[in-house]
Amino acid sequence: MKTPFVVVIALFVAFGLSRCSPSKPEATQEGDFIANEKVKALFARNLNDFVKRLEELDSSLRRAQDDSQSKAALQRAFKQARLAYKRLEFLTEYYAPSTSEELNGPALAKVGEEYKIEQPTGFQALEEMMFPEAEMSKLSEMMAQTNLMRALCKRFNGLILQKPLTDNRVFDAMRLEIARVISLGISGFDSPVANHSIPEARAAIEGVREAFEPYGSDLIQRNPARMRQLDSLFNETLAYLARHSDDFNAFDRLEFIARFANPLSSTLLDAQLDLGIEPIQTHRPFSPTARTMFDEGAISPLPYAPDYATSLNPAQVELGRLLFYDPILSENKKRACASCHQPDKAFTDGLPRALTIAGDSKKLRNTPTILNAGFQASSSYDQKTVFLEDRVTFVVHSPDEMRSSLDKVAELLSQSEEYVQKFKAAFPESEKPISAQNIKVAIATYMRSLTSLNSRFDQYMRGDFSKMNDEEKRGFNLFMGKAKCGTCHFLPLFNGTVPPTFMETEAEVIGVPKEAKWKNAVIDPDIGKMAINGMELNKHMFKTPTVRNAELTAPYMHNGVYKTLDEVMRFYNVGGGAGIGIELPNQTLPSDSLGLSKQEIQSVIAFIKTLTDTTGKSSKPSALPKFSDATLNARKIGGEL
Amino acid sequence: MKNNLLSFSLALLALAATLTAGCSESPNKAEQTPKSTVELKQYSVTPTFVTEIASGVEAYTLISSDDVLPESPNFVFGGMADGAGLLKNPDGTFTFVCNHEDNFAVSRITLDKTFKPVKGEYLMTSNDGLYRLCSATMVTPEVHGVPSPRFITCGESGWDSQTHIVDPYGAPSATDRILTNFGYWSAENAVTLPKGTYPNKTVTIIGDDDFANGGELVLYVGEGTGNFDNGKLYVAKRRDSNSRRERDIVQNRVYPIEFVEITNPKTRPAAEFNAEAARLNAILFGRVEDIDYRKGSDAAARELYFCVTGQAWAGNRNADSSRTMYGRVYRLMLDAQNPLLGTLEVIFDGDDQTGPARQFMNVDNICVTENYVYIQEDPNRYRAGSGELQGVNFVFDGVRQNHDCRIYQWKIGSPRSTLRTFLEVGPPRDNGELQRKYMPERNPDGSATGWFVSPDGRRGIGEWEYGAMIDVSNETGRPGTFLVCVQSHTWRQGGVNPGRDFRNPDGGTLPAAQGPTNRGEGSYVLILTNVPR
Repeated sequence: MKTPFVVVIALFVAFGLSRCSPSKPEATQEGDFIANEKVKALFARNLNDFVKRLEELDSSLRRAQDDSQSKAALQRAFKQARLAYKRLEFLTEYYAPSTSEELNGPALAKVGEEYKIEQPTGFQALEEMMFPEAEMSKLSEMMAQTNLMRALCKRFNGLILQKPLTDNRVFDAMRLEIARVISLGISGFDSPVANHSIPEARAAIEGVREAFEPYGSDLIQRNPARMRQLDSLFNETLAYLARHSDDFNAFDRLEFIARFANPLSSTLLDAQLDLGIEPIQTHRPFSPTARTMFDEGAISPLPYAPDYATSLNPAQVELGRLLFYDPILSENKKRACASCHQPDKAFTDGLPRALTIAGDSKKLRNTPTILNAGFQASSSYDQKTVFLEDRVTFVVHSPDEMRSSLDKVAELLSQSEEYVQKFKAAFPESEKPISAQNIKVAIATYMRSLTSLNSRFDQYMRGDFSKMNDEEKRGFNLFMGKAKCGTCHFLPLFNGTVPPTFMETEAEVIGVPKEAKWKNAVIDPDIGKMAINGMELNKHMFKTPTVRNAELTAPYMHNGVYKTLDEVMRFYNVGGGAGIGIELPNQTLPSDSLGLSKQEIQSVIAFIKTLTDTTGKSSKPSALPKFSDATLNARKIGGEL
Repeated sequence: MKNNLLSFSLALLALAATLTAGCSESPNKAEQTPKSTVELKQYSVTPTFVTEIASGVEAYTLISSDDVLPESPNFVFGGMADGAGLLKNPDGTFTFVCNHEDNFAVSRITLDKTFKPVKGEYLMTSNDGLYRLCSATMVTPEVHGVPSPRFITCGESGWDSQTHIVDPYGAPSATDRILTNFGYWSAENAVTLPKGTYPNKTVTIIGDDDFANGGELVLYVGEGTGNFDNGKLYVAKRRDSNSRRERDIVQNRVYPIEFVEITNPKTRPAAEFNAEAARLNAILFGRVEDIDYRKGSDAAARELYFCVTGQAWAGNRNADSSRTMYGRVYRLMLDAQNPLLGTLEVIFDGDDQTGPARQFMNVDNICVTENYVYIQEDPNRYRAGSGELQGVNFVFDGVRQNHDCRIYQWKIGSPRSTLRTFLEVGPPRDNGELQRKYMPERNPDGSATGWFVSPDGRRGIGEWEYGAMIDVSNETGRPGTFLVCVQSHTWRQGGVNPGRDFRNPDGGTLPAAQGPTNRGEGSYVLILTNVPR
């Protein structure tokens, strides 16, 4: 078995360097880029086409006012318009992310800046009115949405047409689009009612291919074999999507990703390097140099860290690990972080709700795993805080959890020569190494080091096709298709962090009951995010947790109401709260039944178990630092519950 | 308690009545310069709603959403009047340009020689790209050396926000252009310094009002006068430290800062700007709001003041209280030779519970004259007992949330303790007709409005805010004349609410599809006279 220290070093190397390492500004970009001449011209042409399609959609809506028989024409016009948009998507998402969201974001109202409620706009808002059958009573609303989208298109003038496009960013955009198709496109994320995802994925890849074509002649010169390889990959990918475009549920997502989309992403990077186009350098979760989203180290937790804690410094990780297992953090010196986040249960406690320090089992929420917790743009169920560091502060200060304060803890730790030395080593530049600030940094940095993305599923995605059996493969395809799990628990992290930018972590209202009843159930009284921001729209809203290691983290949901994954699947299969008698006006989970058979549910669960990986993360420290005060040396490693 | 409230309301009713009548009838006391054809008086049917005003200063309403203008009777002045600029036209008339933030529109009002609004139209509507535009700066040939006036206005629409330049005399919906070298900031304002401040350079300071990620202070420098297109872009960082934490900067100290370059602003996508600012250790303020420079001379213009709006401690990215909660005013002194160097100091700190700014409820717009700083509130409040205030060791100050939006006045160089309230406006609370009109219980769509109630029970406290405050002394030929935009957020007309329909004033397609405009907000613009400069 590896020693923890080795693990830590390995992680540090895998994630490369911190933001503190010297990095140069990007050299001035001048001169003529193929991107700016050819790719932009292509964009202008496709944008024209998209605007025309929107005009046609508008005309069909006007015609439908007079002729109610033209419903089918409406749906056709909608589909044509979004196919046209999909060809542009790789560039619009890259250079105009807000506009893209307004054009094709989820059809859900959300709480914006200064607690303003923003109504959904764009394709998905239209889709809800047009599918499965067009609601002729809403024609004027549909027209308003269509016109709004036409107005939004004007923004592309300033955002893209006036902007000098550069080759390195266009390649980045192309590869992000492939990741977008893999994680969102084929899952039905943005075509939840029309189920037109597969043809749209094809249009998106076609858009990428078109953008690559101007580089072809140069690549043939530099590396003809690569050009042939890339050509055939594009052909095969597009052909596969064309062949399987009719049946959303039957689409074999695993095969598509493993055999076509991943190799395409990878080869496109090779081609970029062959062409001498340096990948961009920027600090973001999904590395611009990763071949695919599933590669080791492709996604870094560091961009989620605050400015003052931007490395996985091994000494800090090791110190954080000691603190994590040390009950000195709590008022009674009996409770450690590990009391509830127990390593043998994937850092959970097996209880429906965590016990308060006074032993109350009804007050707190279910203890979440902290494995991979670093890959989130917000921490805690109610998204109160962004940074793990702040979560540490709140837990230590909470009267129900540690009932202490970081300052008190710092004072205590200062009495241990061993801790003094370890803090000095971990924070050599601090004037006062043992401080509230450094305690929270050490623990949060340790948590950020607890990444485990080497499950059987990950190994499969990296090319070891022996790692999943047929049932698990079926389960993945259901997870990403018919069962719609992947539209919230996103690939490849399986939490609520939205690929491929991984900038935002979503929360949902699904209607979790107070007790596991299947009829006339009552909503759990916890109002979730609304307790933080006071917004009715966010009542009973909770952050989407990871599905990774779910095999080990029962019971489930924020209140631990479900004991097994079967119960969880049953809940989703009936449409969440809406299916068990809970009516929430703001439920964000589609309330219709998924129609999964018992066998299909078992397949999904079998797949979920391929996401288990706790390798090298679970070992406790063999000893805690000593104090001169002998009574303190009786502290139990990992604390008591 | 009930009695107190009643008598207070009655007092207010009386006050409002006085103001309504008084303003339109009171003789104009402003000092007349012989040439001026301008008459400063009440032009609008809407009262001023002034509840407190410095002595000697008079307030009139220039225009409001309720006004019917003779040459464009169907024009409705939109809600949320924000950034604004005034031009004196060669024929003696005036052109007033104004952003309507939540209408995603820009209006253009023609005032006749006497200053009477006679015509209104929309220079940009929500159909022109759905840009939420906040504050703005009118650059002119006289001050900035540009060939003809331009309205520089900042988008505050998430990642894609860019800075726009619009011809105030141009055809509607025809002249909007993006300043691509200004980068992407959820910007409040981009303020260009006068042409003589740094000869042959175009220096513009941009405030990043980024609610989610925190804001940077950004500087654009173009070679030559009036060059907004191919200059370089910089962000402010401390020279004495790499700390990005706003509240590591404390009162009573002066910090050396420098502006460091973000290369390739033209080619980077939006997501890279915050990442670059982080790499460069740029200072991360709460939300950098409006910026203004001291008037009087080119040298004076190197002295700038800006407001930072706060965010609750204990929530989100400010959970470690690294950024201000109640708002701050900073002074930035730029080096005489090199605009990339300067010093920064906190002039007022709203978080100092015993300091002169202990009443600050999130300051937003700012107006600086030769000798004074006018600091305007946008009272974003905090809900006592809400989760975003729980979990840290600080006392939530509910008491200060007990006032309507104020403009504070400070004489530059005087002790900070001389900061005083210069103006306060707020919704009428007469429990009667005025209140029903200006603070209805319902939105146009019939949904409940749910106004904030102060700790002492007064409805709608702090619901209003200010937009731009601009000095129009030169344009009007009347020293001490200012215009102040008032965002009377509780005033909502149309639908179930009687009166003129304020929804969709610009005729764009936005309101049918998106919520905010359907609230049908009204707003108005005040004329202030005898304002000390």
